[in-house]
Amino acid sequence: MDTKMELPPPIAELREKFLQTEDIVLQDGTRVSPEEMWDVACLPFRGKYRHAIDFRYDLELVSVFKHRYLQMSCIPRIKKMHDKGVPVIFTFGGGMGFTAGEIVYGCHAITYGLTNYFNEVWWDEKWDLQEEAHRWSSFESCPGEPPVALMARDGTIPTDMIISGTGVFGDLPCANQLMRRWPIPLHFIDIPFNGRGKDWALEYLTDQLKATVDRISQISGKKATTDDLNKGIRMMNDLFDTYREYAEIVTSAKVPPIASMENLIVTGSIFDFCSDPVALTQANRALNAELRERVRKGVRPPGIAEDPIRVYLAEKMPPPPGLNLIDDLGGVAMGPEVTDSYYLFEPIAQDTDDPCRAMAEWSLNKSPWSNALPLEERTKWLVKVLEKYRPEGVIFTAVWGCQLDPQFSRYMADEIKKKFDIPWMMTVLEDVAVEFGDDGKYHLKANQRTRIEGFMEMLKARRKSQKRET
Amino acid sequence: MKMNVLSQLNDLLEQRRTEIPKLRSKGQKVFGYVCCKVPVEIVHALGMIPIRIGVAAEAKMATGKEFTHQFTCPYIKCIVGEMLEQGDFFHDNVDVISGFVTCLTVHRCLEVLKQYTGKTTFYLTHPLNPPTKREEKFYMAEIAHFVSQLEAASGKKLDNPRLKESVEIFNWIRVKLRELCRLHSMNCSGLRWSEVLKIIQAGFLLDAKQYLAFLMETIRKIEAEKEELQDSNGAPRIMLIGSPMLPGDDMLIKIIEDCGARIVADTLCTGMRTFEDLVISEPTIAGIAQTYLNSNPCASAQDLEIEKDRRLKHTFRLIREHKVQGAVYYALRFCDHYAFKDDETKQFLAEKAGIPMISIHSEYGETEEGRLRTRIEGFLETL
Repeated sequence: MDTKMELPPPIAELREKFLQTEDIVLQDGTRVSPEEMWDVACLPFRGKYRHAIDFRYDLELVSVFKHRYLQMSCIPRIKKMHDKGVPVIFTFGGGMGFTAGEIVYGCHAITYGLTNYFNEVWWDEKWDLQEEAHRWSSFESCPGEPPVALMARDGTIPTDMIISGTGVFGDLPCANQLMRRWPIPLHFIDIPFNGRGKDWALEYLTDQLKATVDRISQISGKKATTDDLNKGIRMMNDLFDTYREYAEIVTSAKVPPIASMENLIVTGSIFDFCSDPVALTQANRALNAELRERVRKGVRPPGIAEDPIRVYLAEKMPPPPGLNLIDDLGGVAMGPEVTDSYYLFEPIAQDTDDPCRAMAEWSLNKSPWSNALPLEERTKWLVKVLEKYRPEGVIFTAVWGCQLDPQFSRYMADEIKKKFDIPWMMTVLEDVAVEFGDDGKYHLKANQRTRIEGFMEMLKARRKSQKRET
Repeated sequence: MKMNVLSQLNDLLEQRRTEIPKLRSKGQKVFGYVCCKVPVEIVHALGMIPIRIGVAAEAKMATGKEFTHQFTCPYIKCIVGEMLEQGDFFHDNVDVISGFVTCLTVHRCLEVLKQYTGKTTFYLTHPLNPPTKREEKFYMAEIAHFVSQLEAASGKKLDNPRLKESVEIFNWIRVKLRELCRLHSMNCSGLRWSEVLKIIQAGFLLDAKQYLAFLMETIRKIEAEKEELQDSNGAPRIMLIGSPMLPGDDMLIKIIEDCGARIVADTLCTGMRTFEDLVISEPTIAGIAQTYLNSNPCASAQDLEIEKDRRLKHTFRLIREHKVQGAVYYALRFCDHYAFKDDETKQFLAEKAGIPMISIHSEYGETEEGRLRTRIEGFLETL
């Protein structure tokens, strides 16, 4: 590590604590020491991924630096695995949602996804890549996945295969076919809409997942056995267990023990498992232990009010400066649904004779966020989540061009309001969701600021009036 | 001939709008559907009245947006607006809602309609992969499920003689529509494409038998007068490709025609795709499923290899058949399946068919007329 690197005092203090923590063992058995992790997690102070430190963080929470390490080391780790002959697979349309993780890891391969978008475009200010991705796909495309596809095309991330879920992922399947001319093998999985409870849909998807296994096996040169696939399922279930535990700690505490921005780092890691579910599981366990300790000692995260207004983030989340703002205005942001809904579910059945069927069964019938599911089911699921989080308001954030989320916000809002009588604000992120300040840092756009401020003021007034009434 | 045909058509449509409420009051159910690949022959055989939902109108889009979002495509916003606005023909007359689900937006549209109309709503899911035995098996089961839902909604059991009769009627309609387009393509229909499209889209509402009679009569008239109607002014032959153009969304077509070009074919799901490749040879559920599954798909279809892309192959076939010289690609805002694929389609047409293509991104409404006119004029000059 560059020990001469100048770190702001609180970070330098945190380093000493961090160095006392445990190593992380990566999926391939490589042991990473806290020193090595610290070195990578502090890259933004040396200019790489520099915008990752534009915001206010909870610098008393040590373990999240492991998450930062896993996020920022993504590409070098992928390259290393690739050099060792491990097939690298870009799961377009999500390492989420169609059980790609279980299959890919079960087939001795690794996957990557959106973490690299945040690293390269957001933190490294490569907005030109986002622009190019729009030109490649459409100016109406979502900002996230197309730039990652271009990273695969250009070799920024070595990629042996692209797997794409068709149909249910809004605008993402629309880009699938633009990759047909690329030399990277492409594979589609058609997840039938509204396939819940239909035997024929289950059979259809199971067959396709088996074909996916065969396809990856061809690339890896190693036939994945039932045991291998069950191992992939167990690996992912273990990871999701730690996330469930995390959500349990956050929801059950009187005051959530983690500030909004740190929560974003933890939940953001889940998008594509930082390409190493084994390592992320360890990071989550360390974090959960630290959070439990915080709760036990009644330690409030810095910047969080004594009795914060609990805001649940439905669908996606406001940009980072918006999360700081929520804290500043006496609130705390919880969620977002996009990660909660994947990982608060019933686990995929483990150790069955037919793991592909188990995965298909989960995808069609259990995953609460699957777009194959009716909205009615998703809304019921959100009701259960909100019962756990007990928010005073909900912010529903739709991402520019994302056809997945906005179309049902009204539907869900109406149902949630009926059930809980809490305010629901619908916002839309612009294509570039932050603005550049004179200080060279990212700031919240004025329209987002105004709306969040107004919403938080309303929640405060509501709380006061409810107190008066009681 | 032309005025006669169009005024007769307007009368029929007008009559139908007053007739449908009367039929409903006598117990007949109206089945409103979304997308062109809903097997209407089955609906018809069960004694229901199939009508396709949707008219392009800015006011309806505004209502639709209230229940969906600004990122939802105008096609769906119009449909939602019409179904949720009291006093609208569709709102007041549709009893059962259904649709052929090819994209997430259509799926969510049906869910929103189910929620806010409270009407019986069900879906027919189409495999997006190219048809193999696996897709066939899935789709057969899906159609069988669709039939059981239709039977429940209509309170009737599907019987083979009625199905055979309905298949025959719709087959004839499709044959006649193909004939109409062939005559038009040969420059001897005496009609503009905006008028041909109006005739095609009249089938969304008219009674099948009445519509067939109208088509037969129209074609007979065209055949009788085709020598006089022959028009060989050398206007550029244009094909329309892209997102749905609902009835009422004819601004682009009129601009193309006003600029002196002649539209001879389209691949729209509100145009020729409503009948192309849909003549059913075996009047059974299996035969219907086979035909629909193997018919030409929209841009939501997922083909792994560009050389085997069903949509592009179909487009290429029509280009050859209708001697197309240029293509106008119409992508509705947020109709991502088409919006994403314009460059790819343009490249394909240039390489394989040797014809140029202009891409128009637009939405229902007249505010864009000047911009579109300038672009179309420029494109036609290059031909």
